[in-house]
Amino acid sequence: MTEIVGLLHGPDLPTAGVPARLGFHGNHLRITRGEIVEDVAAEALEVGVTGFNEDTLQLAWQRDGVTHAVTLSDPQAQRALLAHAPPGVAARLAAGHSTVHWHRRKWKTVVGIVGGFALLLLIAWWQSEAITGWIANRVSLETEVDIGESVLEQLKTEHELTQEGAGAQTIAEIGARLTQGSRYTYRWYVSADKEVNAYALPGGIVVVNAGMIEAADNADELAGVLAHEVQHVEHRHTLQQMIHTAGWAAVLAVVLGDVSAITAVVLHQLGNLRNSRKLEKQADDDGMRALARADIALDGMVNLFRKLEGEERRRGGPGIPLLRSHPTTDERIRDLEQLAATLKCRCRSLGIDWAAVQSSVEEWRKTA
Amino acid sequence: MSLQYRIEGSDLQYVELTLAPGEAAVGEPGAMMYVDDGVGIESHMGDGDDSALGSRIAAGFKRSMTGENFFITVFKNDAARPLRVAFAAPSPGKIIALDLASVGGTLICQKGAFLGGTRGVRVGLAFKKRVRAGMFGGEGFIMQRLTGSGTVFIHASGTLASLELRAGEHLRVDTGCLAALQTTVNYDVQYMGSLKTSVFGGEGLFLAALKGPGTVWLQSLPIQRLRGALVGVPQSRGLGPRLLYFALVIIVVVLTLMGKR
Repeated sequence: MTEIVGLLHGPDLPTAGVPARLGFHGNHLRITRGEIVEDVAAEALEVGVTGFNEDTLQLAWQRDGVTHAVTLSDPQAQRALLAHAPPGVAARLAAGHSTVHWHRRKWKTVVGIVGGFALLLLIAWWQSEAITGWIANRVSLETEVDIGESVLEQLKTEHELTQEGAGAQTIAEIGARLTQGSRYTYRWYVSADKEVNAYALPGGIVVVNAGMIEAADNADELAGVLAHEVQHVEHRHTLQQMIHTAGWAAVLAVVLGDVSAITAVVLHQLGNLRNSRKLEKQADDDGMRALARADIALDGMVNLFRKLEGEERRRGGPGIPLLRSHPTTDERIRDLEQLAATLKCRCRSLGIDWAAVQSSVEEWRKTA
Repeated sequence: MSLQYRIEGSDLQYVELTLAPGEAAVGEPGAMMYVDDGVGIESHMGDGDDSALGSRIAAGFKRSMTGENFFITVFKNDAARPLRVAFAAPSPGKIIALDLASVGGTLICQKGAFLGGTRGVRVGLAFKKRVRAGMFGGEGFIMQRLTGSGTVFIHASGTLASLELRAGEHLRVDTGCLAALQTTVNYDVQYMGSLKTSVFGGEGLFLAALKGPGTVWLQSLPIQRLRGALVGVPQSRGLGPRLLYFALVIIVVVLTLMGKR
């Protein structure tokens, strides 16, 4: 049997207590202090908790009207005593021990919970891209289409949108070549907005502003923009951004399938949506590959970016919305050119009468 | 190991130590009153022992958390004859000398109580883990834990009473009067019991509740009370602080009622 040492307290002993060996023998607690051996009936033992921080187990008993006690502060000794206790006293001892245990552990528990939560947040922040990506992939295609639809409804209240006319039809034709074999059913809109911009909504809705059509010199350049935007849909970037920016509230709404609640938030975010550089690069690269697969001239994309950047520099300061949300750098253009050089394709210019498309859109915009 | 000492004075005391050749004692910086020529005086980080630098820094931090100095001054008798060094109490009160072995090797004191002692005595941190006792026990969450072997000199303001509590014996103490206690003593707070007594009894809402076995040392005049008497005016005037205080009190009462365990 292991040796359990506690402190014995009594009226004729020093107040600090004297060390004594403890052990249960049958139904008695035997206390051995040098030559002196004392047996106390287990039923007479009163289990209590003491010590500066309630970390000491106390077994007290009465003799001649005076309280005697042994105290155990060592956790190992407490466990050992508990393990050897006879059934009569074990339950009371266990209750006292659990109180001691609780007081000993409660601060560790509090610190542990707070620390764990902080760690969780840190991981969530560090791995936010992976987490939002994971969640985005959990969203069903139908839900995505629903989200896109409700955002589109709100857009329609702010800008005139059309699927008709030469502009929208041309865009749809080019788009169909770029999205062959896609799981999404794409819809192509032209907006009367004069801002040089184009954006993709979840579920396969692509909106091109009239200002964008005006800024593009030919159909190849617009195809470059479309190829880029289509990749945002294919990779569910917009959805990821929504989840990311709208935070956990939106996460809950998406998981629960409640679509309308987050639409307002999403629309607000869409205006100044800042896709991270990583997502933009992915859209650039895969957009370029999609152009190559569709045998559309690759230089349109690069030319447009370069032209817009040059114009922005001339104007000075941030001016063109498309560039504001798509940070154009020399490095990005260089990367695109390098990628274009490696791609094999029988690329040909689209050969669309772009001037006619432009004037058609302009006419529609004036009436809209 | 035990030091030769003599405590002088009645209410404004100092302790004079006689160091045998080669013997060393430690004192809080600023506590030294006089010292014989031939005693080497050196400041040490931490507790003045020869442990590694990292643990000395850690010890220094612990010391400064408990109202002591980051450094300690070591007085070492380098001569071949006994020499004296004296430490003075920083405020009116009593100095008591305690052999740590007689209290089971560890003593818990209020912040700033340690004045000096045998070299090697460590000043650690005794963190009060019971929130209500830490907040309203009058001693705060952090107290001093003096461990080691040898003699320590602790200082408390007013007169020090030493009371022995038998196992399970209870003692209620005005908050702030607790100067030191043995580790076997349980320390908690107790609600005064009636609002009338709390408001008009003059002892506050809570009392410190001590439970044996073990010895406790109580001071008759906590330094805050001395300050209050010297300044002669209530510490907080105006409604703002008082309202805040009452709001706090209500919260605590609710918490205490909820957390009865």
